[in-house]
Amino acid sequence: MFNKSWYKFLAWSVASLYFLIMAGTIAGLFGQGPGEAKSMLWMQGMMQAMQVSIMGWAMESHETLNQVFVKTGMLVFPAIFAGGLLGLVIRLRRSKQHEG
Amino acid sequence: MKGIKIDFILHWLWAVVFGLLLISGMALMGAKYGWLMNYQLPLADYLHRTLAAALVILTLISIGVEAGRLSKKTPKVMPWLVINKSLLGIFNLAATLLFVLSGIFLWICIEFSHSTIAFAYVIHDLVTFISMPVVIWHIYDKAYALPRE
Repeated sequence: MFNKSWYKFLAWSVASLYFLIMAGTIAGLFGQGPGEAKSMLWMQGMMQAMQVSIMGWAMESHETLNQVFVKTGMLVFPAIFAGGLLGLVIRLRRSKQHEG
Repeated sequence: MKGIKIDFILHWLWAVVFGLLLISGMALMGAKYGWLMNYQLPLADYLHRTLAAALVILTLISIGVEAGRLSKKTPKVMPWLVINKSLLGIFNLAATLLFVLSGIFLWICIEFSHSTIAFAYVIHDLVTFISMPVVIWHIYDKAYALPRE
């Protein structure tokens, strides 16, 4: 499969994407600051995103939907803890079975 | 395309989605990185939020596949699986959980205090900066899967 042309295209495209992101991040971190024009361009982009994209919609109050998210979020932490505990119990039981 | 397994599909879907999430997220992070998407922030925002939902679904499927695999007496070998018992697999699980939880706080920020949002931002950004070199290291580590001819 490694020699198939579609696989080569996929693997190299994805690898290149990650190298581009890493290079961009290094350039951003250690390069010169963006300057006034670039900062304004970015601010304008953010304003546009608030007007036309999901960002603006998310900042409005959606009482019921937000409450669903909040409640779900509060359930996630105990669920993760319970899942971890259950995994530990299963692992310990299996190791005891192996010893026996 | 014959004989392609679920772990292979999940791995590459994950890689594409995570890469696009990184590039759109970096563009949204600040003016320093906006050029990565040519300052098209509405597109970056739309991409970031929709792909975040896709990543959650991919994570749930991957966890399900791994749990199903481990529950069998003789587990199948799935070398491409993103979440598994290896160090990288555990890192992926932990990083995704942190991304998702902090992302939820950021998405519905109107419901939370400013300090909670600031903390969620720090976590989201910190995991981004940690996960990037990890992915690059993973590409080098598995370089034999990148055909050169």
